[in-house]
Amino acid sequence: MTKPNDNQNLEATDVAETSQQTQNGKLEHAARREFMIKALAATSGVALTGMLPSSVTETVAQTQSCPPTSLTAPALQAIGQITSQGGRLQAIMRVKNEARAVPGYSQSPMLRYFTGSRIDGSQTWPTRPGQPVPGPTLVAELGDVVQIALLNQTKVSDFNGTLDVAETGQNNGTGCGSATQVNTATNPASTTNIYPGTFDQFPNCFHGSSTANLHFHGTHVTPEATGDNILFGVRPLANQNEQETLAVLRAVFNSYDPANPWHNWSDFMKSPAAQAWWKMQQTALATYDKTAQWGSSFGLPPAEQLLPADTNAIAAGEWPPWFVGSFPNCYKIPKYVPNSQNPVMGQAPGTHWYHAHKHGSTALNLFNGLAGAFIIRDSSPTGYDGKLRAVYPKLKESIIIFQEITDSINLMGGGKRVTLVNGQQTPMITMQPGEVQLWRMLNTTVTAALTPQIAAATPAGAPLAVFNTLVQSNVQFSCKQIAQDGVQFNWANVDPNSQNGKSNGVTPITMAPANRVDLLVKAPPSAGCYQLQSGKAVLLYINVTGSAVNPPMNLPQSQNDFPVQPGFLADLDPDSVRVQRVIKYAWENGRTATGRVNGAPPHFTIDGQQFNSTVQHTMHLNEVEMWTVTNNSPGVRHPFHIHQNPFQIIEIFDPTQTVGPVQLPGPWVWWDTFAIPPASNTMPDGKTPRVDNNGKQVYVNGYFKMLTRFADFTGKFVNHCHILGHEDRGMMQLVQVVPNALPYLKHH
Amino acid sequence: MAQVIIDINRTSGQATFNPPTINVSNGDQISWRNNDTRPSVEPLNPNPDPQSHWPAPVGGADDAWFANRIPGKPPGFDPPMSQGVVTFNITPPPKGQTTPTSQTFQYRDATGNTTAQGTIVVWNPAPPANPDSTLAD
Repeated sequence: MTKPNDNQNLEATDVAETSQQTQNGKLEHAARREFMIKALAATSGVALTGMLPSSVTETVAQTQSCPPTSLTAPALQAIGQITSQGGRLQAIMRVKNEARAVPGYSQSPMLRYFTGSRIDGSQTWPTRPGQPVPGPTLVAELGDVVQIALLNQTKVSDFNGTLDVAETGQNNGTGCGSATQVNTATNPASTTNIYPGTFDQFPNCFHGSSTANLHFHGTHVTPEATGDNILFGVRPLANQNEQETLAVLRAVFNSYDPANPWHNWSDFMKSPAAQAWWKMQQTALATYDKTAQWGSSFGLPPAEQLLPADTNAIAAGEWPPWFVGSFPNCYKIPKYVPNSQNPVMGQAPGTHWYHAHKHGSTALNLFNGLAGAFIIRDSSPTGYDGKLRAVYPKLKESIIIFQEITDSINLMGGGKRVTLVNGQQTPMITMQPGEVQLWRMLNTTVTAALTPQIAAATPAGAPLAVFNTLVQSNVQFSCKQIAQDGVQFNWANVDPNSQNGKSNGVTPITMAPANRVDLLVKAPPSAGCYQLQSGKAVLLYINVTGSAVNPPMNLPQSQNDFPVQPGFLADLDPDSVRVQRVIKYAWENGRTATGRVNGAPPHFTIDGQQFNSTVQHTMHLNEVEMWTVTNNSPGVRHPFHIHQNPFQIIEIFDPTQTVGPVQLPGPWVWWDTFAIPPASNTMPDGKTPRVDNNGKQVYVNGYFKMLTRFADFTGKFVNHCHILGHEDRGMMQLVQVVPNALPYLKHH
Repeated sequence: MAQVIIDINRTSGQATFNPPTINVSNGDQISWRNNDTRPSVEPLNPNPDPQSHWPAPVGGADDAWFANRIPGKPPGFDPPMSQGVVTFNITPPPKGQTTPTSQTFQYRDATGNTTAQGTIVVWNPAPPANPDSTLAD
């Protein structure tokens, strides 16, 4: 592991920024550099390298072809976009499967994927079959209505080992996908059930991998009804009458009134078109219940049938948990109006994404590639996109999607796991000398904490030490982070003359799974070949070539060069907090490592429970709360993600990095995913034990403290670990926001 | 590691496995797909279901690999899959030996079609199923 200081290109003036440690070991009000290092450190389970300015000499960069000789690097392919028109983003999103040519696989694995188009069939993506690309990039403006016709057309008979036709009661009653291993260590050979074994139990196990839904990660929209609701599954129906289905779904979309949105099933059923769709669904569900595979035959027993489950849920005032073949995702993206309280927050314009989020199959579906970017723009003159375009009329923008691909059933390991960039292996970006580009980077991997940094392109096999030596020298690349998780920075965090902004761009960037980073990247003044790498892995090459950009481009120097942060993104007021909670991400007490102990892998919980249908926390609408999110796992940084509302981190304690907690300076960065620092039983030196009052060495939990406002939307949603295998296996929690009917008296 | 599907076919007479012999590596995930549409032989049932099949190791219990039979393929439906996978973990070659080790396993159809058999040849070295890096970390 690289230590933070290994890669800091400290200038003399920066030394004075080092935060002061008080007598009790508590680090208070760390400077921006300290904040970035400590906070971003917590997003990684791997390393603390970062998007450092390339410290490579020009000589090194210029002496190589690009990519280096004997390597190949196709031009970074732009992912096809589906753009909104007339205030509506209307699209068809199909879940299908095909054998895809994945680099590193000798045979093309069968993978599920998203294929999409506008609702009229235009802007179809992907354009070529068999390529392991992400789903289409969705592009909308603030205030748009989003209407996605989700069609699940996965052909289950092309897969094995996971349950999609019926869950509970299958495979000896576990309801989980299963695997048996034949072991020749015994004579005769023995057979052992290696998954789910006796350690995972339905529903917190891998199962139902061809069942899908859509989560719109980073959106501040309703979690209810047809919004960003992941509390249902859409079973596959490969042979549906697509034209008939789409006609009904279009009618459903046409009946949606954004001024009077659907909050529940009863609202939804007021639409005659929704009634027609539900009638189709009832037929499909009944057929499914009669024909689904169950044990050695077909037809589900009454207790397992889906239509009765839906009927019971509707009678209880709940949203049905099951659909077959299709679903009308439909909601409005709220646009903030200054000096208005409606909405209280609004959607942050920026780099967001979407992915399948069916509990039990989220990890495998993302490993198959079921994810894509969702860019929400504010193109108004003062908005994030509009202002950047005004400052940089020729700004090139790259959407860079990192994915891990594998086809390992039930994620039992042993298979290839390939990291791709826009579906390619080590593609290449081209820049002119001196050019500034906007890179929207999305970590849509299932497990990988990425530590992107720019280095000189080196021939394959060149030791990283060469880079680490060079990193201390000449600065050529420069870059400036301008947004985190789709929320733009306050100018104070960009301003090169402020303490916070000064360190931005020369401090480490670490992207936990689900994190997004917007970077303005300025190429060196002369040609050269560089690489974006994470640890020792090259992610892509950067070919700086051609004539110098003209007119010259510079990173933002003043507020006039940068969009003003919308008012709803001002720092939350800690004094307004009336409710504090502690949320405990944990595995079993006493466990100190991943892997199997006596055959059993970790048992992942939040607040002592695995995911279930009981609401664990109830918050009041529009209230600001302070949450302390803790982690008892040594060596594992569970990336905490909560749907619907971003949050600001005000304090962090990473016992592997600091003696005590670090209070962060404002303006605070907004996040929607943050890797909780791990537990540790030693001081940051890795040797000195942490002890209790009796002198006994003990583990202390890592944590972060955050402020968040549960703004604008009531309903049930989840927080969970974004290492998605942990989520599927239990590390997810149901919470809800209810109307604030009981006003509090404010206390100080 | 790869996903491997073995088809069970029957156009007339006895069911067959396709391919009848398959080479896999340690850790490959093997499953069976039942394409058999012909009715099972049930003299007292005028509308018997399509013939189910049940892969099992020769010499082992019927349910050694799968808890259930794979039902037959009804007309108009996709062929059912085994609900689970089988992997092999064979002994690696002796230390210092560079040539792979292989081991052959015979399997049968445990639905009464006693002569229907197939062969799986497992090779090592290959990426073994490694529980310690598994379950999506």
